[in-house]
Formats: sequence, C-alpha cells, structure tokens
Amino acid sequence: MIPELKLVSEEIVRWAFEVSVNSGSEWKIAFTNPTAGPWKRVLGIDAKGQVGEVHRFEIDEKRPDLILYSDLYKSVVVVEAKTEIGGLADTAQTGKTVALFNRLSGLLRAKQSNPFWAQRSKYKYELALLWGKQSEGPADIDSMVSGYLRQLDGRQNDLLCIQGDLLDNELKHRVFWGKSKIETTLTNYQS
Amino acid sequence: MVSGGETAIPCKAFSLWADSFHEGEWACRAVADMVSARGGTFKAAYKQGFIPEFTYVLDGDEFRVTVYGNYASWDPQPEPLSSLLAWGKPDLVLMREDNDEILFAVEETAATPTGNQALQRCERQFGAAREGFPFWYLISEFGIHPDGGVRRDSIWPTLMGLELMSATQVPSIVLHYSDASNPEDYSSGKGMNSLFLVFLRVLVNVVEAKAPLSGLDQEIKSQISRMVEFVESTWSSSLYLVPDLTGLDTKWLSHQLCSTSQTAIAGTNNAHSNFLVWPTVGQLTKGETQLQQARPLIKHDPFAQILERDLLSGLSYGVIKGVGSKPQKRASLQSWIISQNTKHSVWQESANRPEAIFELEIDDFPVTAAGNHHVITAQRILYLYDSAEDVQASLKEAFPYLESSQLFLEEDLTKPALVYISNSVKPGRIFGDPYTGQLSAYSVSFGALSGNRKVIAYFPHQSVSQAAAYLSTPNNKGLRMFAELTDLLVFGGGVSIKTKTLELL
Repeated sequence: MIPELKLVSEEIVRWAFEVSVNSGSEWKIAFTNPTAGPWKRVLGIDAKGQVGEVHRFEIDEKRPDLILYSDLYKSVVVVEAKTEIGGLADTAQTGKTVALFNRLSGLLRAKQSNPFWAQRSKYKYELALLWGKQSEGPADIDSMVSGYLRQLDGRQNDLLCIQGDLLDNELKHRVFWGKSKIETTLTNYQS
Repeated sequence: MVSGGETAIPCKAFSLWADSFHEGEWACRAVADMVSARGGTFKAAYKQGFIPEFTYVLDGDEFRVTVYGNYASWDPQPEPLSSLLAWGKPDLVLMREDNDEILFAVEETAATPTGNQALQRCERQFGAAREGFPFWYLISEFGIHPDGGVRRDSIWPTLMGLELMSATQVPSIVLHYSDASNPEDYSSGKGMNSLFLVFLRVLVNVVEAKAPLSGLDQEIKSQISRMVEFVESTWSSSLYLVPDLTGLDTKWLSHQLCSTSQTAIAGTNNAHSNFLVWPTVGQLTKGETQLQQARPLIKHDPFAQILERDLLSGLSYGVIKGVGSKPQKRASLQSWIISQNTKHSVWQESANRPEAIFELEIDDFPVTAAGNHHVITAQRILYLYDSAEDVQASLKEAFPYLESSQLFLEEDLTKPALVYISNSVKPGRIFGDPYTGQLSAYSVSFGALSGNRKVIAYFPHQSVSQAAAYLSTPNNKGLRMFAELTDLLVFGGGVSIKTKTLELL
C-alpha cells in the first residue's frame, strides 16, 4: 500500500524545508526540533571543519523549530514553524516566538569564544516563519507580519516568510519578505 | 506466519514509518553504513521533494526503503500499523510494502535515562508484544543527571522485556548505547551496531524469502544475555531484591524468538507462566525482611496508611528503594483540585451516585519550605501482597463504602497482588506519560500477563469520572492499558472499577 500525503503538517513542512536547505551548500542547519531523537543541541562547524556543540537545550528550555546559518551571507535565521498560518498569527504565539528569538539571538551572539560558533556571533540574526499553505490570502500574511514586526520593535525591518505548498505532487517552498513582498531564495539570499 | 527456515514470498520494497522524518532517515543512513561496510552500495533520493527513499544493493540483491514520517499525515494508514499505534507511537515501524506486514518496531531515545524517562515509553514496548510484533528499545545506558552526575538506565524496561519475551515469545529487546566515559553517546557501547545489524538482516531475509529473523539466533542471544547482565549489575542500586535470572535459557529463547517471529500473542487471557517469580513475604531472606522498614506518609491518606501498616505486619513488602517527591505550585494545585471536584460532582449527579463521595481540599496537601505543596501520600509506589484477599480487606477498611462489594473473583482471592499508587492530581494526567508506561512496566514485571498476580492501581487524587464512561471503548492508550493489565482501579474516595467486567463499585 502506498500512502498519500493528507496533511502538510508542521513536521512535514519543516522537514521538506530542511531537505531543500541541505540540497545546497550556502546554508547549514545548526538546530532542528523534530518530535523526538538525538537532535537537542545547537551545532556549529569550526575552522577545521569539525562539528561541535554550541548550545545544549535544557529539558524545559523553550526551543525554536530550526536555526540556519550561512557563512556566505553572514546570516543566522531562527525559524518558528506551524502547520498553518493561524498557529503563527495568534497574538500569544507572536509574543512567545519573539521572546524566544530575542533570548536565543542574544545567547548565540554571546558565543564569541565557542570555537564552533565564534565569528557567527557577529552575523545578522533574523526571525523567520514557516508554515504550510492552506487557504490564507495576502491580507492574512500582511496581518501576521505586521504583528511580528510590532513585537520585534524595530529590531527587524522585514520578516522572512517560508510558505510550503504541495504543487504538482512536489512539496515546494516560497521564500519571501513578508512586508516588502520581495521574493528570495536561499541560494540567492537578499537580506 | 512464517517460521524460521520456511520460504515466503520475497519482497524488495519496504515502508519505514516514523514518528519524525529525522528518525526515519537516521535509521536508513545507519543501514546504509552497514551495507557499505559489507561491500554494498546505496542511493538516497527524496520523492516529492521530501520523502526519503533509500535504495540498497548488497550481494546482488537490490531493495528499497521509503520513509513515511509523522504518522498522522498519511492516508491510508495500514491497519496493522493503526492497531500498534493505539498503544503509543514507536519511533520506527518497518513494514513490507506488498502486504503491510509489520516486521518490527523500534523505540529509540536520546532522553537522559534517569527518573521516569526510561519508563515513559514502556507502554509501547508492551503494545508491540500485545500485537505480536518484535520490538527493540534503544536507550542510553549512562545518562547525565541534571545534578551533573552520571546515572545508569532504569532497570524496568529490561526486566519487562525479559518477562514479555518469556511469556509471549515475541522479541522485546532493550539495547543500550553509550558507556561510563561517554554518557549519552550513540556511537559508544554495542546497542547501535547491534540494532542495525538486526535491521539489515531482516531486510535481506525478506528480500531472500526467508523468515524475518532467520539466522539471527546468535545476535539475539547476545542481546538477551546483555539484558540479563545489565539487570544483574544494576538492580541493587534501585531495588531491595530481584528474582533469580539464572534459569533463563537464552539459547532456547533466542531460537524460539527467531523461529516464531510473527507469532502474535492471542491476548493476555492466555495462560502464560511467569519468568520473573517474585517471592512471597515468607520467602524473603532475613536480610531482605530487615530492609522492610516503615516509611511515614507525607500526606495523610486512609488506604496508604493501611498499606504501610500491612507491610509492617508482614502481609506485603516493598521492592523499590528510593522515593521521589515533586511538590507542586499552589496555584496549579488549586486549579487541579477545583477541576477534580467539579468533574466528580457532575459525574455523581449524572450517575446518581450520591454515596460515592470524593472531595479534595488544598489544606490537606502539606506545604514545603518553599511554599509549594507535597502531593505524595505513601513514600513508595509499589506494594507486593501475598494475597488479593488481604488487599480487599484493607480496601474495605479504608473505604467502608466498599464493604458490601466483591472486589475480586473468589478464585482470585488467594493469588498474590500488586498495589500501585499514583498521587498525581492534574486531571487526565494518569492516562498519559509517565504513568501508563510505569504501570505497564510494573504490571508486566510482577506477573500480570499470566493473570497470576492481581493488579490494583490506586489514584487517591483522581475522580472516577474520568474513567467510568470510557473503559468499555478505551479511546486513549492509558485506558487501553488499564483495561488490559489491571484488575481494579481505585479512585479518590475508594470509588472503584473492576476492569475485567467494567463494573463500577
């Protein structure tokens, strides 16, 4: 029996995005937060190409869904993922996500002496949102982005949005800046 | 069913269902390493842009494993898989793609195996054996405790596995990774290698139309021997005693497991003999008897008080050395109490049971120095009685409400009994982690599978209302497990349910 995908859940949309990240060389995944397994550490790479621990989350510590970094674009992106946009747009969730981003970016910026992070402490840190496309329209996205930018309080001028969608039986991602509506890609990243 | 050595229809395509894609791909890559080490090759691709599909070539055989992560996202879900998941979701389930036969399930955890972490998944271990599927539980033997020290894994998943295998002759194997110098390190210890050696061999066996576990006798014998060694080297740190394990014929058992790998047990009503034979009070050694000391209650409870009295009177004994208390914040406790009391009064009225009185009050929960509240009653969670009749008498003494009730069948009164206490106050919590796993591990390890020990679960701070309506059609894993492995559920105020007849007392 060959099963069909019936729900582009958070796990699916995040995993598919990870596959697309790993298919290129510009970005690395420092952390991912699947439902289980030995992936509870933020990892970086040192100058010799050795992978090592940058941060280990405590059992009750809030975790993001993904952390990506690019040495090419000198960027670190902290991603919050949900099955659908409604889960991200919720006011309580907005506050929690921004608080987590602020705490985590501060924590990683302070890792100058960690050999596996070092220069990445000086990179640009940005929050991104990832979800699976349902029936949302541009107004829903605008409203969500405005809510996040208000909470970010000027620390970020625009918000990176990643919308997963099953098109022609392929799970693809549209990557764009939520406020300016500028489309971008990971391989030609315009911050 | 295909027994060892018989031929079957070959299959070269497999589905690996997984809780997360990460775990599924991790397993496929571990198999790929095994294949490469044996001179084979592999290719990895992503169907639809995200579904991992690994194609392996080994000794002229080509076979494919496709990963389906996140169980709930797929339709249709094979029926055997749905039945298995009803007991809790294992991390990995390997199936033949042609006929949806489950070949085995795997639970793996990176969680530090201290406290309740290791027991938290034991209901999945039980569920796999109950459904008749081989199960491997990969867990770190050495974990870093929050205090910075290194602890060894809990003994219970391993004890439970030995009992399950002996009773059902379905593999239920605990594999350990890591070592004392490298706690929580997957690459240390024998577990990872041993698991994926079995994984690859099962794939190759099915490709070659052999029984899934054919030729694995020696490896499985080693795995079982390591389980026995683990129990023998760790039990004294957490238990007062453990049954003699020397009678286990690992060669015979591994042969049985490999030759009847798909033999589903036909339900726990089958008369199995117990492998773990726990002594009666009279059979305890003098030293073991001396270890049975009174432990004062933290919070008063009528039944817990009698349980301690019975232990001192020689009607029962305790097994676990330690005790843990996790005081709760006043605000949380208050909201749980309100919820419990409200649920109960609504149920009382709708069921027309005015005599079934249960009401919690926050002032009954002792306050800690930090201003939180203790919720534990007795300072132990298990009591092994020589006879169910004594438990029945003690319950009736604690709860006169039960005076006229027959709690056990006449022929069961002389059987030994296990009393388990969960002091949780949070509504619904007893039906989830870690309690269902705990109760699975304890019930099985102390003999519930055979029916030769009666199991009584006592929830002093939970209203019966949460279980009464659902036991006949268990709709969550906790209720399914209670219905299967216990005989009597005693809720707050002594209101009880006989799980085998669903009679509300």
